[in-house]
Amino acid sequence: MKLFSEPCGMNDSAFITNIQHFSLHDGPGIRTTVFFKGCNLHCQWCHNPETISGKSQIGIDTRHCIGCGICESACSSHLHSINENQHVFMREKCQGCGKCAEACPAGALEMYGQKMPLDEIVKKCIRDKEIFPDFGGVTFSGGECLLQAEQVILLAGEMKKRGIHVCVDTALNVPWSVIEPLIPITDLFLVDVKAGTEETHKKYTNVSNRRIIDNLKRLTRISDCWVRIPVIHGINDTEKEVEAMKILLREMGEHLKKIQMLSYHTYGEAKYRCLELEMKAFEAPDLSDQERMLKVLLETGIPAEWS
Amino acid sequence: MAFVFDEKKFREESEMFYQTYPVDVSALEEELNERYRQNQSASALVQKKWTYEVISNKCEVKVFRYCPFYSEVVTGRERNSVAGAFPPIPGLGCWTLKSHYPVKEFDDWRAPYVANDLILAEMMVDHSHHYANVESVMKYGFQHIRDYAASQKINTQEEREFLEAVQAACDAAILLGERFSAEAEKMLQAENDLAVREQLERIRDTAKRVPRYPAETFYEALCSVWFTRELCTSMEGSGFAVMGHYDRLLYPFYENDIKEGRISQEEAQSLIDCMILITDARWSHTAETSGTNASLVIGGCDADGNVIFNEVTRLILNSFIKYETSSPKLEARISSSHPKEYKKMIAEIAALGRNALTILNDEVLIEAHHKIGKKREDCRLYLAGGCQEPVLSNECNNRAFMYLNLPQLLNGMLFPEELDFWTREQIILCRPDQEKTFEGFYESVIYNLSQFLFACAGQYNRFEKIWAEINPMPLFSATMDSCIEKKKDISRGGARYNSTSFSLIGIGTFIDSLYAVRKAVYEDGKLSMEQMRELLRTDFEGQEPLRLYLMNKIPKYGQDDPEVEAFAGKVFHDLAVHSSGMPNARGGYFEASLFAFFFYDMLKERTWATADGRHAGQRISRGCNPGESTENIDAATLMQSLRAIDFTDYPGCAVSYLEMPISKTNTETEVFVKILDAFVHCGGNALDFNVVDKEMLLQAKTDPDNHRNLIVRVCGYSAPFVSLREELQDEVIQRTMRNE
Repeated sequence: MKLFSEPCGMNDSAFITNIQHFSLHDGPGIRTTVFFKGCNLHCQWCHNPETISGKSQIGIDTRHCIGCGICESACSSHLHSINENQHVFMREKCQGCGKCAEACPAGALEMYGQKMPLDEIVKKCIRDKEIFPDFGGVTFSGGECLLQAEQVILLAGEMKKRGIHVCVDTALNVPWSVIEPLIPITDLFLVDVKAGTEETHKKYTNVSNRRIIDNLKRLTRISDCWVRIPVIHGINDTEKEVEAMKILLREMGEHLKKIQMLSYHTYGEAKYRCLELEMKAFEAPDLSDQERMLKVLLETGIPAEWS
Repeated sequence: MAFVFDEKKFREESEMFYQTYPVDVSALEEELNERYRQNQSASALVQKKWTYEVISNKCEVKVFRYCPFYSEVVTGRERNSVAGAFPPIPGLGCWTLKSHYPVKEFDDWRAPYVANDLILAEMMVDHSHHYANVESVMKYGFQHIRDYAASQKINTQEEREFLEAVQAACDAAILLGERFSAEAEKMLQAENDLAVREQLERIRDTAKRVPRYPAETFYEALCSVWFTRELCTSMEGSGFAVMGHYDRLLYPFYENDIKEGRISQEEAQSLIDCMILITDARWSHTAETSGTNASLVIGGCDADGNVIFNEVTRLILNSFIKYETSSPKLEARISSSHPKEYKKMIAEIAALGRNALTILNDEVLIEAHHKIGKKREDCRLYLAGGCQEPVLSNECNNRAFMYLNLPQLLNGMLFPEELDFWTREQIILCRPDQEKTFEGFYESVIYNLSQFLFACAGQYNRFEKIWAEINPMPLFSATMDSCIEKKKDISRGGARYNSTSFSLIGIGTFIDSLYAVRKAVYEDGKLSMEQMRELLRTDFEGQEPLRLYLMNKIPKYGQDDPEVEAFAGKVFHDLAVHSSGMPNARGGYFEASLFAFFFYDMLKERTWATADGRHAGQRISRGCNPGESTENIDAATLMQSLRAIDFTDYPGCAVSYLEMPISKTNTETEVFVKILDAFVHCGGNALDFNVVDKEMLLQAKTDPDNHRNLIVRVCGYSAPFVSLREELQDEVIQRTMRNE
């Protein structure tokens, strides 16, 4: 299977937004997390909106803009202009070359998405192996990192060669043939399951959860997995939804080791603002909802926790 | 009957007692003044002798009903006396110093530099961070020390006065022990509570023997080390931040008591708990304090290099896990040889957000002291305290009393007319801004810095000499056999080792500023030197894009840029070389040190703009950390940045500060264990954690009453968050946010 027309080798690049060191929330231990750009789910509550689009994007933080106009001359398509201290940007015409962000001294413009050579990614990923031996590792996340499965396979293979623990953080909304080659080189899959019922899943993520569930069933029979559920009050924490989730997770294989629930938060607000996107308002579950949900999901017999 | 610690009753009792502080001792002071008027030619050594006599004979002694330790002599000290005593603080201990204060030579010299925020120099010598060698008192007792002093052959009047004062100090300690014993006996007449009677009988029977004679049991050893340090604090007019290496000192007594069935583990725990809480009880945390600084050392190794981690270490760590104190602080010496259990217990304290904790890397600090010519056996017995100031057990350190603002010194080189730090010191400045290459620029900077530090060393050597004439410390000297053998007070160089340090402040800002000059002026040609100077002179007025360029577009120390990291390594090394090695007035040498207490925040205001894009008046960097405006510094990157630096260049300590936001869910202890391992692996020197989250701090700011227990560390300074002034609170909050 090929998601990319060109064959991919170590000289190639991956399209990523960030590499985060000392990450404590993306799998066990102290991890280095690579955020791939591009996603085929569109969860309305997404807290990393800059990873959804598969193209480069410019973020504008107007709070930092000092109106110096350096971006005007940096952009060969003249998409930036400063009018009476108002920064105007013709986003729809932007090709994402990133020259404006490179020039902006104020840090008001940020380029989301860069093609980073795989060997450079490897270098960054192995940096902390020596100082945190046998504790943590590397997590490939996103976006949906499996949309760049060729790169993930190569990178994971490099990690395995060096004895580094590999997590793949995915929604599994890809053909099984994409997942299969990763199994021998991945220590733990972090699988995001957004909703228990197909109806809710489709309504809030734009896609059905059927393929996800099928993949998860197969995967949990072979490879260690944690299921991670972003919990949004009134959407996927209703009694009906939680019950459906419980039934669904009960059918999984013996390699499903943990259920992690993550409460909705608005920390991604600034990124929405910078991308000039509207952030839909949702609510976080309160403590009683959290307790109720935990109790129900513990009935699956699988360890479950709020993270 | 074994001692059972009644925490609640002890807290009530001690709180009630300490609320009466400070007690008026003006009548006794007047008595001393009168004696001095009668005998104007008396030397300070004689004055100290008088002080000991008055304190031991006439000051009240306080015995607590719920505490088996005895040490409280009512000398007029304030409750929150930080143990720093210059300028002199209330109480008889500072009487001698007070009679010679102020010291004009010192005030005259420092004034113009202080006015420009170039230095922070409250004290002319270190009056805070000493370690009285409590081990020798525990082993030999004051009687033996007195006899030893009496047996010395005397050649000069100063020797006579010194040895007589040492004997007077020992006599005072012995007499006070007897008075504690008598006081306990007196209280017993009216005491009906059986458990309390038991304690009072114990004090009655022990105080007259210990620390007069060597300690024989765990309880006696604890009494001895505790009493000695407290007595120094009461009587010497100086600060003794370092309590001692308790697990190393106390374990043999514990082991023996257990073997002989004299004590149970529970009772030993109760004694340690009580010792921790009586140290804490001396502080009123509701008031704004200038900081607590009593420090307890654990772990590390013995003189032969055998790792220390024993049952007493566990007892001490248990107490720190159980109680949220800000005094004493814990100075935990670690190495790669320490067992995981030890690191786990330390990690637990760190993860709990008990910010009264400093980590010291044995592998670096022992080597650092050895490298400059100290015996390895002595180096292995290093202690630390106050913030993180290291001191060997037979050393008198002037470690943390003069703080030099590196970025401002650099400004002085670029603007020698406006910021003339040179003429008065007769330094012919080498103008870095007239150099054609960055190498030339850098060499000039280091040359000027070296000249300035050399001049400062000369000045401070004058002040060190004055020290011996205004506040010698014969009691402190009595704890060091070398002082008695040399017949020299500690202030004259009686200790085996005598070190002095200037604490360099703002190295992160300094490195970033130099690197910005290198890139923007010499390599990229973005600015001419004249333009750069103009930017700094005008605080970037009307040139915001250029300021932001310097701040955001030029790589900074701590951001994992290989070129900057290599340059930083060079700067660290050069600064260490040029701030050390000069002889001091006590026969010792200057040693390199790099830490800041919270002074980095006090020196910012008049510090001109710097080439890293920092505005005039903004914060400068802390300890050996990256600049305060440098973003995206995570714990791993911070650890990695240590690797390019040889921290064995800094025996006077170089501190990394690591903010660890408390995770709402599971900040695993294991994460902290791994950070400790990584810190040792990366060759760090000293490490402070600050574990807090933003929400908690914001709540604490608006609702201080319900957050009195929230302790934060401001660079080695443990304090209740609510006691900080608003500006400092905001600073802590901002830092916490940056790392989330």
